[in-house]
Amino acid sequence: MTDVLDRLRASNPVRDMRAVGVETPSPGIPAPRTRRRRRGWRPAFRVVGFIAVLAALVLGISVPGRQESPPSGTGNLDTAAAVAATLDPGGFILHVKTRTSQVGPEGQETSWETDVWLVPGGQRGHIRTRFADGRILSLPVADEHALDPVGATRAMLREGDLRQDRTTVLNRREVKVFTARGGETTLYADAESLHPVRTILRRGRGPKAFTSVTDFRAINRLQDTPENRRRVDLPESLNGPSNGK
Amino acid sequence: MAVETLQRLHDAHAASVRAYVLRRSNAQTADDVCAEVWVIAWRRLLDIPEDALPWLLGVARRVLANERRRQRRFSALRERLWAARGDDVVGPPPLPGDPLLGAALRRMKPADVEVLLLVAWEDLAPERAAAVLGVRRGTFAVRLHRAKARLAAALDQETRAGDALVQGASSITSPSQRTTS
Repeated sequence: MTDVLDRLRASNPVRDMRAVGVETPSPGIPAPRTRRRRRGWRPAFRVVGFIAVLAALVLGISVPGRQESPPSGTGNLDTAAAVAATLDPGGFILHVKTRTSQVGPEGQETSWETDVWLVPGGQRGHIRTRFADGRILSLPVADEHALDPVGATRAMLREGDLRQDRTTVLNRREVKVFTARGGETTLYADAESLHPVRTILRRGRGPKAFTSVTDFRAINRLQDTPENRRRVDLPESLNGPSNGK
Repeated sequence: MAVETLQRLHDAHAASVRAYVLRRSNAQTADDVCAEVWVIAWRRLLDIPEDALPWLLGVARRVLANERRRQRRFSALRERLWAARGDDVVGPPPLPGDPLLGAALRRMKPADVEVLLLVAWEDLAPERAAAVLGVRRGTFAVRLHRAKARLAAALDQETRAGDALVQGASSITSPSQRTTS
């Protein structure tokens, strides 16, 4: 088994110590260190703050200094019950198509389309992404991924991660607009079925800021047949002439 | 005096610490993690043993683990709704030179991977690698033996899966991503 370690040694991604970029002899502790620590830990405090605010909203407690008010009309608990009654995707093969456009701070745009084939529950499946430049990525679905958007929506509502803001019309569909915990993500869900229709993520600041819009083009429940099971397991791109398209 | 000691430690080990972190994350994360490691070293200067490198790597390992947990929390929501790609999530770096090995590592438990990498990438003798993990040398030897066996099995599994799925036509851009074009 020594060859396994040798192979691992050969794959070392940082072999040249000169490439690690440590040239200054000084630890540089006083100024740079303090600045970096703040940058690294500030988000953690933000999360704690958001959780506290969310908990306060769910409990109906006013939060000093916050402008948001608790959701009016259908509350989170009512919504969760409605979703639980309508969105259980068990016993089906789930096929979801999405298109995402992401715009960076200087207007640079990237986009990609995604197909997900999934046995609900996430234990089996794959996600196939086609980028604007023609590349196709196929990733197996791991247990920890919640790639079932219907299930994810349901879970987020149940766990209080979504707050309903308003109702509007999107692409001639009546949709409910939810704000996710942290305020970075907005979810548009069909007013009746509560299937996700669009998500908008605004994240980062300055040169790292971006806005990402994902449209759910189709959420299909397919019969759990052997043929559809095969589609869950194998990327389409590897099945024949459609490869790479 | 303390500043001189820290200076000496930094001169001797900064590159190794940074390389350790870079092998397991990206440059941006490495900046933050390394800064934190040296802050901790400054605070705990009296606790640092004579053979300082394993101690420093052990600190880096824990700081990196904390950073990963923090990033996971932030990416969880995004992953749930696929609103963006998870490019900034730290993890094992891609191994473009040996994609099957990268995929095999991805199949393994992080604890097993770390045991292997301490020996293969950090080039530490078992005794020093054991010190990084805070375990005895004998314990480390057992873990290393098992991890090697598991890596061999994962490699075999990945090779067979790759033959069946990829049919030699794809290249892998990261440990769990197969690219076809």
